[in-house]
Amino acid sequence: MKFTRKYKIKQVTSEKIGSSDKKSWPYAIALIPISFLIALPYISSPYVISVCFMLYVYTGYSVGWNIMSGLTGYVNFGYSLFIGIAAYTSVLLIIDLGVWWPIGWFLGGVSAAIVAIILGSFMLRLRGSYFAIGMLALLLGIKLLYSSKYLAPLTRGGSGFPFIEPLNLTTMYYALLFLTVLLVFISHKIITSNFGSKLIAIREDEEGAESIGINATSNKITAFALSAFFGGVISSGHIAFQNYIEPESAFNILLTIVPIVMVLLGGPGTIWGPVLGATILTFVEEFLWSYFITTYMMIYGIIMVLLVLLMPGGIIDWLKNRGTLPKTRAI
Amino acid sequence: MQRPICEVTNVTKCFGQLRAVNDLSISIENGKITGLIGPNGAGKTTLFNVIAGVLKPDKGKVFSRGRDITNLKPYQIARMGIGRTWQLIRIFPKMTVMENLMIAANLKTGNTHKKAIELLELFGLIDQKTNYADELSIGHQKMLSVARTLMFDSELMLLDELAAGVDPSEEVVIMQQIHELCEQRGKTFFIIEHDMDIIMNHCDKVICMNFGQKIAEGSCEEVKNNEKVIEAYFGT
Repeated sequence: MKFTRKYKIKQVTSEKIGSSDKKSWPYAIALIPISFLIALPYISSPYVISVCFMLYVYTGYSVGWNIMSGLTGYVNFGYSLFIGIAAYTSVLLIIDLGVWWPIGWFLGGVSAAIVAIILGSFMLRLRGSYFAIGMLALLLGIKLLYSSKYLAPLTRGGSGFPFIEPLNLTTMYYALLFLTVLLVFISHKIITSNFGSKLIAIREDEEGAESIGINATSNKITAFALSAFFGGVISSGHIAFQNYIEPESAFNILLTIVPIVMVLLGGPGTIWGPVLGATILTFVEEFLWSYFITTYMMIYGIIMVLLVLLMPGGIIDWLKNRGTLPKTRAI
Repeated sequence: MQRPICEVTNVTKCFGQLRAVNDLSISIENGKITGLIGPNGAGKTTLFNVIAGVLKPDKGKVFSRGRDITNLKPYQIARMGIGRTWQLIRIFPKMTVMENLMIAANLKTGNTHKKAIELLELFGLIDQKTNYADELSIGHQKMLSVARTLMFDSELMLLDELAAGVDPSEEVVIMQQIHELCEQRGKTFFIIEHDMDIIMNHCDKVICMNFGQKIAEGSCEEVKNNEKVIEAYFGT
């Protein structure tokens, strides 16, 4: 039986979906901006580095959110729950216990993934708006818990505390650049894998997917945990940049909403959609904020409404439907 | 003698006050095509849902080769070799035609890519293999759902109104495939169908349901001439 099982998996992953998915040209194209981004700290100001740092943060969050919600269609409005938990875990490990920061960041992601597995085992029985609202409620509840006196010996309560992790802006910049590229690469592997196909099948028709032997529950929990891990690792870097942690900012709902908007703009369930959405929105927001300081949120909102109306499936889907991009999942 | 791939014993399924399936017992013969007929609302699709694990019965048991599968989940039942199609088209719309077939090959061994290409050629979908499934016409979507079922060639296939919306030439192709799978590979088919020509020309055995109960079972001729069946369809 074991042999048969291995054979089956090998068959499906090696023959899946057509040869177009195995093309590596998106990586080749990606190497050009990555080379530029590697050189950036040597040729630009700390302001530009900070903007790019936030770009990586939001790209990471978007890629992470997309792994669960973009692929399975379970819209997670409680994503900042994982972001906050990972941020606290990494800061407490690094500052209080003196753990080496890369290990602390990794364990931050692991803590978020563990919480996701526990929550997912019952939350993923809910569907549609029930799941979305349930996650939102959990986010608010856990934020309160972290502010409460019960966890105050660990979290220092609702007012939070300042800290300095032992790394400078350039190191953080490279760490986040590395993590973002790695997460996009892993996201590519997931989306074009047999596992990715199963997640998309669940999104398209969960009952139909189960009727062809796909264990929807276990696949959803795995995706949920991966999504939380991605967000958690990035969040550990994000909080190191802020040098201050308190529940209100660590569990900020904007850290859920902004990645959702970015993914919807770029293209949910795609590899490059979250990257594209995060890139466009980070720079558009920065531009608007610089030049229209009193009205930038209004302009930003109008642009978002227009984009969603004109391109409901996101930019990548729009380009695929126009025939500009091939209809392959490797984009 | 092999135990039946599907046996339903005293199954009852209620929705509120409505008994959709009422103390029903049937046995599906291995390697045969069994038809399930009955007027609308007779409980045919509910019975399929109970067998496939989508609905849990209030009473009674479902067995496959002697193993109780009543409380198994749909994916576990599928992995045991019981596949199904749905009354309404349920393809994965934002997957390409090829992806729809390959995902259905999830549990299958052998050269799945070759098999998918063969099926696409057979059903005339080969030129559209890279299109999204929702870009196909309704007829082609139906063909794709049929091809997906054939790709996922379980031991028992529950086919719910397979021929609805399919033109006669495509219907012939589908039925040829079913006979081939049945006779050459020993697959078992349990089909719900309103088209009596399909039932009479292709089924080895027919079961008729009305108001959740089995009212007749036997060969096509026996069921066709059964008074209760005539009454169920035409009234007294």
